[in-house]
Amino acid sequence: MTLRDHELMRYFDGDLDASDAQRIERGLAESEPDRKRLAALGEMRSLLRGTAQQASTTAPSEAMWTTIRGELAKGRRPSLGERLSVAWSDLWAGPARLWIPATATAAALILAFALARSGPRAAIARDVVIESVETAGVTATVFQIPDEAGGDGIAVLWITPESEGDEK
Amino acid sequence: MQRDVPDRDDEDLVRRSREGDHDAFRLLYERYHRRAYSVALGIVRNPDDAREVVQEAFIKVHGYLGSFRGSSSFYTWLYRIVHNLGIDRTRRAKVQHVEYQDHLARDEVPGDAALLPSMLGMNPGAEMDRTELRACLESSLEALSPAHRAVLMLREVEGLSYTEMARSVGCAKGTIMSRLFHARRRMQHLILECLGGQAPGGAKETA
Repeated sequence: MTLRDHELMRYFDGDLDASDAQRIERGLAESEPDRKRLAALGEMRSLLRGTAQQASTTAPSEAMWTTIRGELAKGRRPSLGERLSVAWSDLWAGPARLWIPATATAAALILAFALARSGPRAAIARDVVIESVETAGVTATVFQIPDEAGGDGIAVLWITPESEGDEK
Repeated sequence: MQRDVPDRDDEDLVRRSREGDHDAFRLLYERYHRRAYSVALGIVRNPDDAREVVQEAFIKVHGYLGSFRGSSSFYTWLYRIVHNLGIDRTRRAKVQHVEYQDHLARDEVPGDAALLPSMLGMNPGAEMDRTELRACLESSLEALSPAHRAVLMLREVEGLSYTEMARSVGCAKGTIMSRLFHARRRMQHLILECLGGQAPGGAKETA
């Protein structure tokens, strides 16, 4: 049996759990072509590491630091826009659960903004009730929007699932 | 497996740098600048450009320290900046001749070619000159798209996990796996072609 390329690659990269890794190892034990393909991946890694290690020794360390230090001495601060951009990027690159409150918060802000801009109905926006409950796998956010007469109005339930499997 | 967690030493250096401790920032620089240079050079393929990318990356890092929330490790964050600057530079300099996409006609290997069983082992003159081998490696890297060079550097040289690479490059883990697979396959075929071998099943590539 020939192992699939992607399985072999994930094994090579240490991305498989223990049981899958053992299954691949059994396959490798029975298949010389697969062992050669695995060895070829190792060859390329060695070549690239050797080249990169040599390249890193040529890094002009002091010259770069001199330039960096000079620029830092000028004291230029990034603009608010640049800082917000980095903060936003960092938030979304973080652990998956950060997506959930971020999504709920964004949805709440959009809803509040839309209601606030709706002219005569602006008073309703002050009465929006938001509750967010995080439970296994999902976050439920409740938007309770009273009607103008002060009744119960409309309740909106916003379900945010966990992000799509980017994490192991 | 997951090791994209904030390093305590790095966290401390980041905190001190944020408070204006230049020695702490210098230590961060000492710790990571060679690796950053290696990644940058792998992407831009030019020492002067790599130098400018690293300089700009550390200047940006310093400026953004106040915004860095530490939800990922410092080096993943640094690599993301290096990666983005490197890719931007290759676009600006127009050293790439194709669009920055995964499934590039130029980066595709003909047919249903798989990962090769060997590169050096298939060459009758396996005891080749190291200079020749290095030249083949360099020309093969040159022929890859910047996006493919980037994933090869981050994985093969820096040893980042798929998740760390996804954070550094700013795309989904599945995209990283696909991109890495195509990059490796393409690289294998290019090296083999350079060494005078012939890919199994195969037509010569049109790089």
